[in-house]
Amino acid sequence: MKKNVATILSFVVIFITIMMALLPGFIAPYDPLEINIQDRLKPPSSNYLMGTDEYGRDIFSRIVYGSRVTMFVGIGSSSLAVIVGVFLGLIAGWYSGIIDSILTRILDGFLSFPPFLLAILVISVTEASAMGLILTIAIVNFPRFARIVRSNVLSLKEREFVEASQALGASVRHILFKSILPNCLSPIIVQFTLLTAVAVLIEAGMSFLGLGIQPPQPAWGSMLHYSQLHLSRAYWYTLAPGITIFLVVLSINILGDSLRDYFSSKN
Amino acid sequence: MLGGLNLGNYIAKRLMQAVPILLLVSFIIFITIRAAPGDPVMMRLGPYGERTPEMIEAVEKQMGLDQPIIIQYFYWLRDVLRGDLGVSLRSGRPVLNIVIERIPASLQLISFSVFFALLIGIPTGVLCAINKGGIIDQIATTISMGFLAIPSFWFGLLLILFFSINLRVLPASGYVSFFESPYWNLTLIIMPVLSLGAFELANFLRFVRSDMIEVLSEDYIRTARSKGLYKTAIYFKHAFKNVMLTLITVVGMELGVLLGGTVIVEQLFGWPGVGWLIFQSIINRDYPVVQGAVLFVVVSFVLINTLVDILYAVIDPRIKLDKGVK
Repeated sequence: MKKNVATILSFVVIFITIMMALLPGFIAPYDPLEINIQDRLKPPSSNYLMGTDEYGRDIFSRIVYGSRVTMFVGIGSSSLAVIVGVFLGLIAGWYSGIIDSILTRILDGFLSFPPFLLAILVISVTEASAMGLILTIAIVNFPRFARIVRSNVLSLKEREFVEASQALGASVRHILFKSILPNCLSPIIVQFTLLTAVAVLIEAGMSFLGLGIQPPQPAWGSMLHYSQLHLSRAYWYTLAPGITIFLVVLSINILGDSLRDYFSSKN
Repeated sequence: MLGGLNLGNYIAKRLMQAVPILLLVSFIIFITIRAAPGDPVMMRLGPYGERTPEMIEAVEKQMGLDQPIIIQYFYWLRDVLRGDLGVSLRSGRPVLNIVIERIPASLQLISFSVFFALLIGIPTGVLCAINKGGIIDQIATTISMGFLAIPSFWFGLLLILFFSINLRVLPASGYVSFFESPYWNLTLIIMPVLSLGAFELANFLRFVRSDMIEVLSEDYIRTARSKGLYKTAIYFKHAFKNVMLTLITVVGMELGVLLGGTVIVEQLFGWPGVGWLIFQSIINRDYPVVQGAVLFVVVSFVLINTLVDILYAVIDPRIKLDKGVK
């Protein structure tokens, strides 16, 4: 019962975040880039719901617009990772032998990195932009998809329905994408959700370090970065983006857990 | 049943397994940094001193820059194995020395964080498992769910806001070596440890809790109970021994999260460890240092996990040694 409430609340948080990203102009009361020096570092009020930053920009509007980066990078990187990971996982699982052992070794190599460190390493040579972040986080996450898909293929390919379509002369591509892939969708979906939460955290961390989205474009992590300088005078500046990241990550995690429970109860 | 020879075999096998992983990891790092903008010869020679065309040619030859990339990698690997990680583009000093200087601060921060997370996480996890569904369990599980979603850097900012700005009891950042002043060293490490350790605390708690619940429902625990041993004795002797074994592996795996987290936390609190070094070098575009420091951290991580696996096999005689080797 209580779990359902948490799931519904999480769903609402994610829905609001997506709406903010899709229609920021309808939600944000101000232009996120509009500078108002006389209103700098104002505490929350009826004018400025979450206060203003060091340039007098409305923090709430910047959070609304900042959701675009979070959603774009989060979903974009997970999508790229899932495409590459699923493809490699299918191949490694289906063709056992030399192809499998080479691919598995390469995946193990990537998985041996501390995730955030791999991201830092890649971002140091790519550009600090949304596309750079997507590429970076996808490189961190694709082996996790590949590993899950591979282990699922290994067990599925012994099953009768796969052997049957093989006997009927179906092509490998047909078997992999029409028979096997639909049967390992649930672990992929769960992993997609949980790794999107990881992606949001990595993106926020990168932007916090100044290695992600560059100013004046609003991003939650970089807002936190600049709030450091005004910590003693403007507590709201650090609370608003922090709570937002926290709520979004928490909600994605809860949704992922609920999805896992749902799928495991179905089987 | 398992003789010493078997264990010896396992250790040898496990060590051999680490070799291809280390090769791959170093290859990935090598390729990434080669993709960085800048002339590899300049990176090798550093910013100072004269360079004649002959010198440049000699370095090109030494690095094998006219050879295919895979051959270049082995040239690079040869230098790395000799302890030659190149020189910093900024200071001209050997990268190895720069990294070594930063190790003590990181080692202290990470070991303190693990210790802190275990110190709070294990007893709380056990307590939750014993009172499964009770009020303590519910509160602790909810808080740990929160800690898993708090970004370490924001948690760090909140700690500064609370302890340094509101209460004024802790300095916001800085570092003093333990040998210089134990008091200031330990005072300054409190907030970095809290922000780095909070996530792992929650992780360990959840892990110990679920493992403990499972173990407590097993036959031998029920047998022990029926024999009338004191409840506490049961929990802490039988069940706990079991949980500890798996916890070793979890700590090994989670070390990766901590090692990555040091980049942010050390920068936030001005803690001069390897993580901060990596961050500074990226900002300075000092690629040889980035490469050397990342290589050092990742190699340590792989070796520690290898050791953990071996340790696990030594401690637990029941482990199926064949299963451990894929």
